[in-house]
Amino acid sequence: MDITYMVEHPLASLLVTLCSFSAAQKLQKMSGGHSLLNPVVWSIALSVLYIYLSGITYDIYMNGGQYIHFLLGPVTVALAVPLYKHIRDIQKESFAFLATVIVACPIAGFSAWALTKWADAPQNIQMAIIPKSATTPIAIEIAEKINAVTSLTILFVILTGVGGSLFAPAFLKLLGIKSERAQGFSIGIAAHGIGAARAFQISERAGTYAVIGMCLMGIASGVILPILVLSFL
Amino acid sequence: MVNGLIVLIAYLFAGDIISHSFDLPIPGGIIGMVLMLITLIIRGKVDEPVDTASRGLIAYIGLLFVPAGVGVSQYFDLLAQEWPIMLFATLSTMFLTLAISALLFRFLSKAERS
Repeated sequence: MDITYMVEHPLASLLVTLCSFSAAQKLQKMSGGHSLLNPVVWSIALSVLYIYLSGITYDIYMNGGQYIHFLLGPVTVALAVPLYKHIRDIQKESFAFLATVIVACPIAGFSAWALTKWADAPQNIQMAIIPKSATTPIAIEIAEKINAVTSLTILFVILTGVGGSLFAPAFLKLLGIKSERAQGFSIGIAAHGIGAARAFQISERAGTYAVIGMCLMGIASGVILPILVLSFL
Repeated sequence: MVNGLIVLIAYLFAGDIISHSFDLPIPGGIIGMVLMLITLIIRGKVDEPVDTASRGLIAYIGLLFVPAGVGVSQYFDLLAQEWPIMLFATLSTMFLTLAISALLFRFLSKAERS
């Protein structure tokens, strides 16, 4: 049997990726939805383990991985649908919703940039952290536009989401934010989809507003961040 | 499903072409998404194929990040060295963003103040 042919076959990495995700998803379900068992984190870890054990390069892995990766573009467009479905919930106070997102978006990106620059972190970290509060498919598009390392951006996005889903509800309580609408909306802005999943555990209402926060933040980030980065950095 | 995918991919294609032709800093996917949103608002409903395709994709959105995320394996040396600042900068600014958006929204929204 030709082992090299086998591990370098595009279908091998495709299967490994699909199986790791399916297993990681099952694991999180069994735990009752614990944030630290995020299926994306663990399926990336398992696939990385496969790369190391099989000795293939990332490029060879991507020969199979590209078939999944390709769907990121269509899913970005698809995010317009949940936003449209909730558009009535924000119509009455559209100014409050839009203004909050437009202010929060550059703060989220550039506070992180400034902090890593101040700490003298390497240039690729400073750039990759900027889109961290946008939902992953949009963050990837932004990373590509501003020439940041996509995989590092994903790491920051996931870390932001997991951090938000672990600590955001308690932190908002500490701030005295009691309304589920404000809780959900701000969690969606700060911690995108992973935070939104946590917000649905608070209540349906909090989750709905988290989805709104995530979608608006995604659009605002996609428009504002590349313009600011390409004009000033 | 297929018809829905055709629509999504066509909008993405249009977005990419617009972004490229006008040399815009805005990514094609975002332009496609905004065009889709405008279309939905004008039509006043989501057609069933688009609804099916987008729900199908969004249900597995996490899976779609995995291949790009695996690319992190090329940066283990960087992570080993820089993880404290990466962790600190990510979490502290997440709290900052959370606080600013929650407080600003409460200040701007009439329904929240009453």
